[in-house]
Amino acid sequence: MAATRWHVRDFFSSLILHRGKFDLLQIGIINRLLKHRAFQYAAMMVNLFVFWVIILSGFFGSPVGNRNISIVFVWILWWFALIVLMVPLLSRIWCTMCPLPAFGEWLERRALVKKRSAFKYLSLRKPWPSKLNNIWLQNLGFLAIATFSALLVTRPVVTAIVLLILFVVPVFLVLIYSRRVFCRFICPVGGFLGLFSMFSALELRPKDKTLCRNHMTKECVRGNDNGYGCPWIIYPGGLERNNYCGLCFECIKTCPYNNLALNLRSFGGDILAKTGRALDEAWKSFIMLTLAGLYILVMQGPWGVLKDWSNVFWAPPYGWALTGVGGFLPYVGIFWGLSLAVTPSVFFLFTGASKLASGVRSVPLKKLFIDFSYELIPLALMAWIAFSIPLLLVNWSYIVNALLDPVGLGWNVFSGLYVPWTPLIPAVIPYLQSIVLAVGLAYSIKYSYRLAKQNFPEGKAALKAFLPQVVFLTFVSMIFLWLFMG
Amino acid sequence: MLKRQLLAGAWFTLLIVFAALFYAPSASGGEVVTVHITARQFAYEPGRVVVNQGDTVVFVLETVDVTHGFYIDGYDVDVRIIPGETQTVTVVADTPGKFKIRCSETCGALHPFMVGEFIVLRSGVNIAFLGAAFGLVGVVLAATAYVWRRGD
Ligand code: SF4
Ligand code: SF4
Ligand SMILES: [Cu+2]
Repeated sequence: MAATRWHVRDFFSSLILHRGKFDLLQIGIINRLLKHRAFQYAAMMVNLFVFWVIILSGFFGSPVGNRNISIVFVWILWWFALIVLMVPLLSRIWCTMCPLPAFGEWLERRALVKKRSAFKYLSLRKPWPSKLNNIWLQNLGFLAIATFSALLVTRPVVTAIVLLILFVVPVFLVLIYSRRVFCRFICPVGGFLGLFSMFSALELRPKDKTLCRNHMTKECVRGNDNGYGCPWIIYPGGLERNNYCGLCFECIKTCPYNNLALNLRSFGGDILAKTGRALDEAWKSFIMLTLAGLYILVMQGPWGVLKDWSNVFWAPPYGWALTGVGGFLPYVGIFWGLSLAVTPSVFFLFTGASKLASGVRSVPLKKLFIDFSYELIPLALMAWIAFSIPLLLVNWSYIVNALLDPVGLGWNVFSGLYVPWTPLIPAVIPYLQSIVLAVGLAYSIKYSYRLAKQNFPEGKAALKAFLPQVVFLTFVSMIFLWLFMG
Repeated sequence: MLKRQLLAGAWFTLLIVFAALFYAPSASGGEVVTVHITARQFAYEPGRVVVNQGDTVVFVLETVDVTHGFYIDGYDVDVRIIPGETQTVTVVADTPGKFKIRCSETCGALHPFMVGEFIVLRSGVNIAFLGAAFGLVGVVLAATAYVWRRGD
C-alpha cells in the first residue's frame, strides 16, 4: 500500500514537476504484462479485428461518411485518441498495437507469439538502401495522402482502399527487407508519430549505458530465446530519443540484465537530444506545422471555394476535380508549396536573423536551421490537438450512432435508439483551442532558448539568437489564433 | 533594466485599453440587421457574417441544392433549410466572439465540414480575439522572461 502511494507520488512529480524520471517497469503488473510474449500479439489482434470490420464496412456499408464506422472510427475516434492522448502521453504506443504490419511480421517469424530460431525467418533480408535511410519517403507520402484528405476522410470506400494497401505493402517489404522497414521508412503515420513522440511523456531507455557498451553479445540487437532482436532496426542500448522505437517491448524481454527502463519523464525531453538531428526531420516539422494550419483553414473554415478545390474526385467532364483541375491544381500547389518551400524559407530567414543577432560567426547556419527546427515540435503538436478538439466535441454522436448501427444501413441493433447530433460546449471550443495553442507556444519558447544555449553557450549570444525565434513562434501562433477566434 | 520597465509599461497600457473596451458599454449595436444566406454543398454564402453586439439579426435562409441545416454554436439556433422554401430565423447577438455556423443535416460527403462563421463585435472590434491575442502575448512575455531568468 505504502509502495503504491510512492508510485503515485513519483508518477506525478516526474510528469508535472519535472523532477527526475519514474520507471513504469518497477510496477509489477506492468512489468509482467510487457514481458509476456502474448501481450503485443493480443493487442494487435484486437485492432486487426477492428480494422477488418472497418475495411468491410468501408466497402459494403453506407457510402455516407458520417454514418459509416470506417470514417467515424478512423477519422474521429482513432485520430483523436492517437494525437490527443497516445502521442503526447505514451509516445509510439500506437505502434505497439498497430495491426498494419502484423501479417508481415508473423509471416517472417513464422510464429504468432512464440520466439523462433533465427534460421527459420522467411525473408530475403536485403539491406535497406542507404539513400532511403531517412524519413523523406514518409514526408512525401504524408503530404501525398494529405493532398487527398478531403476524399479520404469523407468517402468510406477510399479509407477502406487505403487501409487495404497499408496492409499489403508491409508484407512485401518484410519478405524483401525483413523486420519493420515499412514502419521505419514508409508508413505515412509513422513519420509524424516519430517526430511528435519526441515531446511525449514516456520513453524507453537503457538504465546504464556503460553496461550496454560493455555487453558483448548485445541480445537486444540479436535476440535470444526470450525475444527477437529489435524489429525496428535500432540499438536499444544506445537510445537517446523516442523517434524510431516502436515500443514493441522485445528488448525488455531479451536484455539479460534488465537494463531497460520505461520512464515517465517531463514533456519534450527529446527535443534537446543532439543525436539524429537532420534535414528530413526538420522538414517533417515544417510539413506538420503547415498542414495543421491548412487543415483548420480548409476543413474548419468558412471558405467554400477551398472545400470545392479539396473535394477532388473523378467527375467527367472535369477529370479529377469537382470544379475542374483548375481548382485542384492551385490547391495542390498551396499544400506542397507552403509546407515544402514557404514555411521553411520564412523559418530560414528568422534563423539567419538569429545568427546575425548572436554575433557569433562560427556556428554554421545549416546547423542552426536544423537545430532550431526542433523547437517547432510542441507548437505543431498542439496545433494538431487543437484541430482535433472539435472533431470529437462536435461529432461524438456519430460515434455512438455508428456503434448502434455499424454499417449505416439501418440495421439498428437497438432499433429506435438514435442520438441526435448535439455538439458539446461548441461555443467554448475556440477558447479551448487557444489555451492548447498557448501551451504549445510556451513549450516551444522554452525549448527554443535551450536549443539556442546548446549552440551559443557563451554569454548573452544565446539570448540574442533566441529572440528572432520568439518572434517567429509568436507570428505563427497568431495565425492559428486568428483561425480559431478571429 | 529600463527595457524591462518599458516592456511592462507597454503591456500594462494594453491591459487598460483592453479592459476599457471590455467594460465600456458597446459603442454600436442595437440595430435590426437582415442577412441573406444561401446554403449549398458544402458552404454558406456569405461564409462570414459580422454583426455588432446587441444587434437583432434576421437570417433569411435558402438552399440551392439539397436540404441543409443551420446551427449556430452557443446561440441555440438549429433550423432546416429545405429546397424551394425560405426559412427565417432571428437571433439577438448578445455574446461577442466568433461562433461557427454548422450544417446539421447530413447533406453529402463533406457535410461535417460545412461551416460558416458568425462574428459578433463589441464596439466595432472582435473583443474575444483581441483578448486572446493579448493573452497570447502575455504568455510569450512570461515564457520568455522565465527562460531568460532561469538561464542555463
Ligand atoms: S509505423 Fe505505421 S504501420 Fe508501423 S506500427 Fe506504427 S502506425 Fe503501424
Ligand atoms: S528499442 Fe526495444 S521496444 Fe523499441 S522497437 Fe526496439 S526492441 Fe522494440
Ligand atoms: Cu449541409
